[in-house]
Amino acid sequence: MPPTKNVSLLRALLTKAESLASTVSKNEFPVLLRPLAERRKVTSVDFCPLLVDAMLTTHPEGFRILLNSDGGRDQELKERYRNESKRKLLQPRLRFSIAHELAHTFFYDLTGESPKLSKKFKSGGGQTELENLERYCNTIASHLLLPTQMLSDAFLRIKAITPESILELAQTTGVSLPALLFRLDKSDSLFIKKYFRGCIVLVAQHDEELKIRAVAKPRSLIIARQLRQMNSNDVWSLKTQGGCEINPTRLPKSSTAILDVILDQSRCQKEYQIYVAAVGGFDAMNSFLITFEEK
Amino acid sequence: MGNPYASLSLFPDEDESVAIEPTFEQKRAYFKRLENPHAHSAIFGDSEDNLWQAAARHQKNDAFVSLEKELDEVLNLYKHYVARNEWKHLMDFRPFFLQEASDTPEHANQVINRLQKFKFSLAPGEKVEYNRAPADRIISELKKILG
Repeated sequence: MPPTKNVSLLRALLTKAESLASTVSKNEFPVLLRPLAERRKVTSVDFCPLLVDAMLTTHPEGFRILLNSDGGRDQELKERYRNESKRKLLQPRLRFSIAHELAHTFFYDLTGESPKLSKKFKSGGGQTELENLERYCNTIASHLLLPTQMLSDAFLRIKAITPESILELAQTTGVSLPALLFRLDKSDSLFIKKYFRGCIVLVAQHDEELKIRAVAKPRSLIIARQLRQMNSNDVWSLKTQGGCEINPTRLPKSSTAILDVILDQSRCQKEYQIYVAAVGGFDAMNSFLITFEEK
Repeated sequence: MGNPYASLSLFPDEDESVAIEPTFEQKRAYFKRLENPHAHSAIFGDSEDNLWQAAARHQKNDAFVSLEKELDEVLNLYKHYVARNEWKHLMDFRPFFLQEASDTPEHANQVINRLQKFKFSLAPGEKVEYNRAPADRIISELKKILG
């Protein structure tokens, strides 16, 4: 199957996943996982030590999800899943793992007695069949937790894009900051609607090194060259138009910087408003959420 | 009175007085064959170095066999879940794991206990959705088990 067919299959599965998530959540964040799982015939979600993050099993009544308890208390985690509510959400990482397993259920035909595998991605686009499956299941998981219309409504309601407002959106939706930024990065239309000419970056500090953990930026709006070149997993290296280094660890909460904007092969300088907030560890010593927006 | 069960005996009754007492050297040879340095030392007051080595070898072999059995049981549980073309990669890691884990019997037993925690049970008719996990994920967890 050529990659274009993978894209059509992905599109069909995303539509199905989003429709289900919007219905069970009644178009309100956060999307709770238990009702979603029940609609996908998941009869049980269990926690135990595993050599992998999670597993999906099939049985005559549907599916079972096994999740790595990772040293946590198995029964307590199970109870937390069972009683998940808007006020008491599971950890974002666990929510994403469950959503990822739920994404796998969309490849099964559930009309018969036992789930039967009926769809699959093929290798293509330089990726193996397995790599495509896992990558696209991550995409489906992010759409289950952040359905497009609901995300668009919430994002457009934000008055000013700042680290605080993005952090609040992540908390309201029950997803991690990296998951939210990856999803926003694929949602160009949201930035266009908002006319947000800038970018949102999560930077992690490991010893002396600063690394870009996730970045969300518009594709169709013109933004500074330095921001356009930022990519996830790159080492942080941002310099102003004058060559001054911008170091998130030393930035005040609010500042400005002059960056280069390239327009029709001509270069001009624009002033950007920068906001920064320390946002905890994320497997690093410190992490910083930074927003840049052209003034 | 004699032995009331003598008629049921398969062998003729032996007179205790005619039983041959083994010689000191025979006893020593017998205990040597047992390869138990603790018993040898308790009876003869000394023990040879090679007895201790043999005992250590036995202990290590026993631990290695149990470790190998435990690892294979765990890996077989995950077999359907590992991507088909990744299984060989995982099997290539197996000898390294066994070698590292069995450096001492104590470490081997520790690893066996840790491996047991990663076993899960399936209900009748329940199947693991197969061919998904990359071997590297499992290998990195197995490395953690090695400590």
